[in-house]
Amino acid sequence: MSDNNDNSDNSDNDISGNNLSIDSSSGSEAFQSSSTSFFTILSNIFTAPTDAMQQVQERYNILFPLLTLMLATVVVFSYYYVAVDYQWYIDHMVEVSAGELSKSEQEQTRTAFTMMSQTAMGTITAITAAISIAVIFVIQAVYFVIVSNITNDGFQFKQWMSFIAWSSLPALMVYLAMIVYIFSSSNGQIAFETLNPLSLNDLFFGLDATKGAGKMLASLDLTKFWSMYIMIIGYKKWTDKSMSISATVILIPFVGIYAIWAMFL
Amino acid sequence: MKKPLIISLLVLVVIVIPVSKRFISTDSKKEVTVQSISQHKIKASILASGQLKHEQEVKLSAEVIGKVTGLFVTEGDIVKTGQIVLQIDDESYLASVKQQQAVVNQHSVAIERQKLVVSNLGRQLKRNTELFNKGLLDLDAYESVIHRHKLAKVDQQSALEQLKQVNALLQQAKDRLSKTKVLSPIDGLITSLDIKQGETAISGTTNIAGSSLMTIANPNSMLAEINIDEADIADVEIGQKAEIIAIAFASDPLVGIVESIASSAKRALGRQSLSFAVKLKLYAVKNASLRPGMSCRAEVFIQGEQERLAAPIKAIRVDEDNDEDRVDNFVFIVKDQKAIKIMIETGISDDDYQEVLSGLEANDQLITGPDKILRHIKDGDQVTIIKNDNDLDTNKKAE
Repeated sequence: MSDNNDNSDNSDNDISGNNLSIDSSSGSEAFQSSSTSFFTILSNIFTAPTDAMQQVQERYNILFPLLTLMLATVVVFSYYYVAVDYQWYIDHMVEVSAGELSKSEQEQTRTAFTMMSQTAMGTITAITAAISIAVIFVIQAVYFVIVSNITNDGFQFKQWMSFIAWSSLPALMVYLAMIVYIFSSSNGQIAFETLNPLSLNDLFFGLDATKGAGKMLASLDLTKFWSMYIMIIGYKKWTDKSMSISATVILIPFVGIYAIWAMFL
Repeated sequence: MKKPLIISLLVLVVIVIPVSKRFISTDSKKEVTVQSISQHKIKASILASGQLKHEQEVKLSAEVIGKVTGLFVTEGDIVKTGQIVLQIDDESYLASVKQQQAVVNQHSVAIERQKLVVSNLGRQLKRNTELFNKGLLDLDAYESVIHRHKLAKVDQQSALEQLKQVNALLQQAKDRLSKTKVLSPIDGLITSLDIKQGETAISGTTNIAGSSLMTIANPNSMLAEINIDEADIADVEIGQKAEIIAIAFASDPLVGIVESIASSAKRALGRQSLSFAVKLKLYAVKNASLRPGMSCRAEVFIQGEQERLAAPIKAIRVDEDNDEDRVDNFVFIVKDQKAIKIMIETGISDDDYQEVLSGLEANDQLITGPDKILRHIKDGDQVTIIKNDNDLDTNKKAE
């Protein structure tokens, strides 16, 4: 913990130094405060990620980024289910989930989907997606706690939760893109798997996003790489490890998951 | 100044990407097949469903109760009129006949005895009459003899009537005995065998196990009985041609003619509206695998072929408003790479085409599919034509 405290102290000094330099150019009051506001950190995530990760160390706040992401998830998914052509959506889901089954099995699947109203489906999906975000953060934080125990850097669960939550905030850009994409649809016939216009599949490959490589590529978007970059420089800053070690620690789970996925394609 | 600029640029990029994807990308265009609307020959028809049945069909049921001791046919056997098909245990019925026969014999003997009594009293009466005429017998004794003679005659008559009664009982017993042998009433095929040897046949009309023995039908008398909705029945006439498709042999349509139309409407099983049972006589039935009870659908041609401006049925969508009892038909045509919704009025139709009375002009490009696209297409949607069904149609006509 002494390392951690030292880090915090250092970061405070760094922040004040940075704040002074930024303050001289922007004149913003937020940057004059020794305890940086959440919105300043949020804007720094997009403009000065190194500074942002230093500022996160001041309070290790979790609730602001986590609730922001959860709220954004609920808003976007609710909007999607309000705007989507539900009959088309059911047909599409039946085709995706039961397209290769017999007609009667397809009808059974359709009946199962039809049993749930559009509002109920939207509510359940939005809440489930929001909760999954928290669950995924917890799993990631557990991974970092294990790494901390190996490297003895002194960071604990709460600090890693804060680290992950703040560095995941670039996902807000995905939500913005999704809202624009849904809003620009004239007929509401948007497949759930193509909802993310920033995904690698949508931007570069254009494969069928319901299966195989297309599905894998659809799960990857530009903001994920951005988040990983923030995590790498944040980890380097927090632990004073080299760039290569930081990159290895951050990328291992990501590469592992996608390598296993690719093996089953 | 730098940070707001960077954030503004980021937001702009994030907005531009989905917008450009929506408006520039060709992926947002729906791939459709089209067909030009043109003149087609339409055979107006009415569609209905029903079942195949045998016109000559008898359901045999037991007239006496007893265990089946002999079953001489199996399902699918061909039988002749009068051929014994089933034997019910006749032991008790045979005993009953013997018993009744004995009673008849007993009564015959009693009649013989009574005849002798009458004959004897007749002779006595003759002698007593002579004596009475000579004044040798008093009136009381003479009247007593007359009375006994008459009484004997009445007893004889009574015995004769009793003999008739027991004879009738004997006939009944013999009749019951004869019913233990079940005979085929028609030449035909055993289409259903509902009882096995050793089971008990039960007489009566109740639909309980054992009451029905078997069904015999004439395989050459197959017909289709369909239920035509009351709204369509006015167009159906005896002698109209029909095409019947047994569900089991969908690729092998049968030809039929309307043979009879039920005089009263009934609510068919599983239907809400009233319908009339229409019998279609089948012609040139080559498929020996057709079986009574098979589901079928039939198309009764109510008018001859007529050349009309017609749209493919698959292109016509229906918008129903049950509250206002309104049904609107519409199609989508392709204009400037956009799907345009057009309301139409429709006329007669057949399996493939429906007459368009108004709303469309010849050569309008109708969107005909694919169904999963057509089902959800909306007015103004961007479309790309991937196939023109006109080529297919031309090939069909050429064939």
